[in-house]
Amino acid sequence: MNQTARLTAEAAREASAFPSLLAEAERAAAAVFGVHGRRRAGSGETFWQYRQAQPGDSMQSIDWRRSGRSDEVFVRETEWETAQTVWLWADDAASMRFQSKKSPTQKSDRATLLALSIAILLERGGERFAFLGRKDRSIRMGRAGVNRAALLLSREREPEGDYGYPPNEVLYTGGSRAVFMSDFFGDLDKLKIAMTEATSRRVKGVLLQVVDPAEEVFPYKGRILFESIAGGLKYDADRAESLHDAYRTKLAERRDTLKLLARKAGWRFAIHRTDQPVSPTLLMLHQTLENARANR
Amino acid sequence: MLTLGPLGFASPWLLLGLIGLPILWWLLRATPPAPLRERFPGVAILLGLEPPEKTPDRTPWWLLLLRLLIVGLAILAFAQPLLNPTKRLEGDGPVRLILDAGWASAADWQDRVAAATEIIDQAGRADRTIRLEILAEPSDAERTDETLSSAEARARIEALDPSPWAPDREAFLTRLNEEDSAETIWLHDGLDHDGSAQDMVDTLVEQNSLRAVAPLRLVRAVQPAPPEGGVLSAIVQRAEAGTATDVTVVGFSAEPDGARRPLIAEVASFGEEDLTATAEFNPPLELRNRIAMFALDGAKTAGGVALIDDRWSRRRVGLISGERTDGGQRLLSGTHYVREALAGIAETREGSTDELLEQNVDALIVVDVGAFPPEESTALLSWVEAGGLLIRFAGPTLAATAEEARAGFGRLEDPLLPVRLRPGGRDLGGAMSWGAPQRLAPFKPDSPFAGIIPPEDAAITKQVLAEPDIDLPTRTWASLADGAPLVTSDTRGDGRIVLVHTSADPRWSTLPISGLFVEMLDRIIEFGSGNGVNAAGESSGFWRPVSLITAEGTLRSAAGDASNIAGENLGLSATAIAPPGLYEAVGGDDAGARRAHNTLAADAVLTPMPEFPSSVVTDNLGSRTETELKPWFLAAALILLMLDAIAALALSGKLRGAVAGLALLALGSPQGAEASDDKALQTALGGAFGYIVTGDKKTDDIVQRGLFGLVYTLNGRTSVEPPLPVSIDLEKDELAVYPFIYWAITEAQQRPSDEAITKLNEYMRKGGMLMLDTRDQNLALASGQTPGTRALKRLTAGLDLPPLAPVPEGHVLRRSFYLLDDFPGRWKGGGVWVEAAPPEDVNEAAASGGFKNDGVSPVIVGGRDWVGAWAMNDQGRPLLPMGTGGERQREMALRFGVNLIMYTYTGSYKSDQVHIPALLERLGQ
Repeated sequence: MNQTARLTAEAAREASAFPSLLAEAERAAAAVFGVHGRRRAGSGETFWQYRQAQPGDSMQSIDWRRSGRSDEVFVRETEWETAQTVWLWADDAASMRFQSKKSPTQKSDRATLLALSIAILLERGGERFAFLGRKDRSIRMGRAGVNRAALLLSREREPEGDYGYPPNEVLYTGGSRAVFMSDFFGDLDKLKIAMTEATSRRVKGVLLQVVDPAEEVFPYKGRILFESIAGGLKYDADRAESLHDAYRTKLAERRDTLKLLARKAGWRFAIHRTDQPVSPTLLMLHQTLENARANR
Repeated sequence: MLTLGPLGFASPWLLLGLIGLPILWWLLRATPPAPLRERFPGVAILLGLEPPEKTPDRTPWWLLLLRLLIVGLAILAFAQPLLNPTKRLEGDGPVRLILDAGWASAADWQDRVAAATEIIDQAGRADRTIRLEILAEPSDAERTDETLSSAEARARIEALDPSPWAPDREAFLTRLNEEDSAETIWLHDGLDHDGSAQDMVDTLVEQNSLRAVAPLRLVRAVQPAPPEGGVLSAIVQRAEAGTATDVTVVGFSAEPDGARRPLIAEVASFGEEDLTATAEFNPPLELRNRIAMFALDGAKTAGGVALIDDRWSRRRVGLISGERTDGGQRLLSGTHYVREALAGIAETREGSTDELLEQNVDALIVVDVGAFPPEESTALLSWVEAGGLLIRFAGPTLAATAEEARAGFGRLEDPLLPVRLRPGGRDLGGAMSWGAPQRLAPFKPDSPFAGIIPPEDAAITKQVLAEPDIDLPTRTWASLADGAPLVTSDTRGDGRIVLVHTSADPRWSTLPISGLFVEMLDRIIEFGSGNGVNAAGESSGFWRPVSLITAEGTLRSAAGDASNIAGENLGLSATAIAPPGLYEAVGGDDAGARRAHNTLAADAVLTPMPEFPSSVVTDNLGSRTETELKPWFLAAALILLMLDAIAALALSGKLRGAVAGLALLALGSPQGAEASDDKALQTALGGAFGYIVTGDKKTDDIVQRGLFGLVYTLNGRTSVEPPLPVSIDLEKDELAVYPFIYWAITEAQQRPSDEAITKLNEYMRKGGMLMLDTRDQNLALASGQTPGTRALKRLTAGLDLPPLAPVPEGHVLRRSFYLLDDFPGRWKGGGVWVEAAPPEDVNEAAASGGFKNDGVSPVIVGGRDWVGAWAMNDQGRPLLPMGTGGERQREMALRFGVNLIMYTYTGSYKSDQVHIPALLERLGQ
């Protein structure tokens, strides 16, 4: 029995119920809603203006009711015919499946939650979104799109490697935006390639480093054999406490590198800790995406 | 040998290994503990890091200490530590080892052997010869003067058994040669058996150094109290007072097969200062007469048991009365006085002569019977001649009989009287007579009453008189002061007849109300019964042992080699010549009598050893035996080693895993049941449909998809919204939680176990719905038989199916949701069978009320492969092509499925609806 069938059955039974992830995402998104006023325009369904029909307009686009009131033929125009697409990538590799004792959740769960919450916010804004890193990368919009995305995201997946990288060869639409969520502990060169590809299509966005508190504080002591989650990497520390400062320094260096990388591409670099609440990060992401659109 | 206080080491050089401990300490400190494994995504960042400090983490000090302790203990263990290393020998030259080896040594014999062996070994190590003296050995046994090597002595000690009599120290003293003085060790038993212990100690001390090894506990002994007043009691003796304790004495029976069985147990309580204590037994007579032996609970010595013989068994006395019972004046009835007097002596039985003789009484008391009928008289006489004791009391009837005899035939010739009676009695001290009431003359020494002093208050006023005879004085046991016989007796065959010449009631004398009466009866019964054994205890002649008491206090049958003993030995303590046991007289008057001969004579007293002079080295048995500590040290090291393993696991954080693993191991089997329960619990909440796993993957998949399709359809069309179907393992899972179970029959299926079949039966009986589908209607021949139907028959053998019938017209199944004419699956045809409706003629009320399960069929059987028609993928697309009828038929199949589930849930509810108009009509009337 696979997950979809269960979800479908559950969804059918509780018609209005959402998967818990979706509900949580809704909650997180609700916290953001109304924080900043925003001129909204519908996404093709909402009326924007009437204009006189011009040659080339299709017959379907003519608003016959309006046209009937005058001699002119009017076309009903809606705003944001071409909504912006936001490419969301939540790293799902083994390293994201980490949860220390001090953290309430896994990094990957948090990243997925953030991604879905942004999707909901975007849906409210009538924008489109697409999830990278999944098989189904189709661009979605609207309430149904969110629901489909929730289904897609709640599927269990076997992690592929220790560290994940944003996918290459994505058909970014020009000038769209992207959010990459990962711990960025893997090879930065691969990240660089993916970002170069994105920036070449004038994509702007955010690098969000999702870290566990343990990864930031490094609370280990004694003789410890560190292993990566998938077991690919090992490091034998005779006295872990002595590594504390060195680790912190190196982590800071990596963050500087990431920041530099982001700045060069016109992106923004941010950090989210899994023991911190979601909403500030969500707000930040939302604002950044808005600004990116405004600046376009 | 290295000695430190109570600790000695047999291989002290091994202790040098302890020097290595500090080196070990250093080594252990240098080796870091095993690393903790930690999953950590940030390894990538760590990878390039050069640790600033390479000092390894240290092993915790307590773990170090633990490990040092383990090694230390192991070293100590292999150095062969001995607790209480004892040096028993001091001088040189031959060693004289004296063992008492009497009955008092038996209790701790193993300790004695161990101590003796130890001494012998030590002597052997010092190349000294040994002279063994076994004091309890019969002096005619092989003499042990010659010196033995340690091996010989050892072999002898190991073959030695204690004897069930006291050690003969006097004999030892007499054979003790002044010249052969040697260092002496005496393993004594703590008792001064024959009063010669003091002499022995003095003599030995004079000769050479003496070491006396005393037992830890002094033994106790038990003796039977003389039989007295009907109470059976055992006297327990101890040699040392000082503590108040309770000792249990057990009465055993001696079975013919030689086994002894405990019958009764009583407690003898020693006060603090008491040397003796008594345990009184008062069992029912049958039990009492079976008791053959007393034994101290837990005492494994010959002195701890005491045999009793016939003298202790309580007599059974029959009572025959010839008195005219006049209206319950009990105090005037002679039998009353006899009964009262016998109460403490014997068990009284009353009844007719025949009855009493059958009851195997030891004695018969006949109160005032004049003459017996001839048959009775013959029976009584033959009983007496066979060894019975007949005691007769005179009285008015007997006197009258004597009177009649004079009138008719002259003298009374009754063989059941010891003397001939003179007609006419004698009245003394009455109003019409001249003499005063007569008192009793002192008893003659040869009388059984010898020793009893006649009381002043016993006076005779009336008696029957014996005819003077030449034998009369010898037959007289007691007479009055004027010489008239009062008690006469004569033998008949092996038995005896006793006549008391006065009545048993107080009208003729005050004898019945004096204490003398009881004593006399007691003496007579004791004397007369018991097959004529001489009760005075002066045993003579030779006695043959029947069974003998071993030193350990058990009985063994006397083997042929045990020789007869002289009678005079029986009253004394046992010796090598007269070992304790049960003896039988050989020939003589007493032939066949049995007599107990106990280890301790009746008057024997346990005396403790006298104080030893200060020059004697005293020692206690067992208290300072060398104990090898090696196993203990090793065990301790092993336990610590396990602790170390746990500690090491805990340090490396693996303990939780290990504990979980252990728990898993421990839980092992219940795991499955629990899982099944969990499954049932979860299913119970949702009401999921179940399908029985066939074991055929393809079939199971189709059934699962089919039920999924049904659930999908139900979700879409009805308010029944079951969760996804659940697979059922018939053998394990609880069925009660499934409203509907689908069982696809395949040929390859194994028949479920009887237990599973029982579960299914229960399920159907309690209102479950089972659907059986052979799924092969397309293969049906003209006969309707398919491979599936055969499998169905095989699989459901034992299933309690109701009588089945094709779904009738108007069955609820046809209209529980949709109105259906037929119930197609992937196939059509064949039948769909449900429980047959009750016969038509049963009226409706009876049908609905009496029919079990409210007319809802618990089972639906068919072969149309409904699941095949229902089967859908996640998107609701059909999986299998329809056999006939195309998609329209699939729709009908799904409708049947909906109807089926409705039928399952609502039962006959839909059929009740049709009655509503009729009900309303009736209400309206």
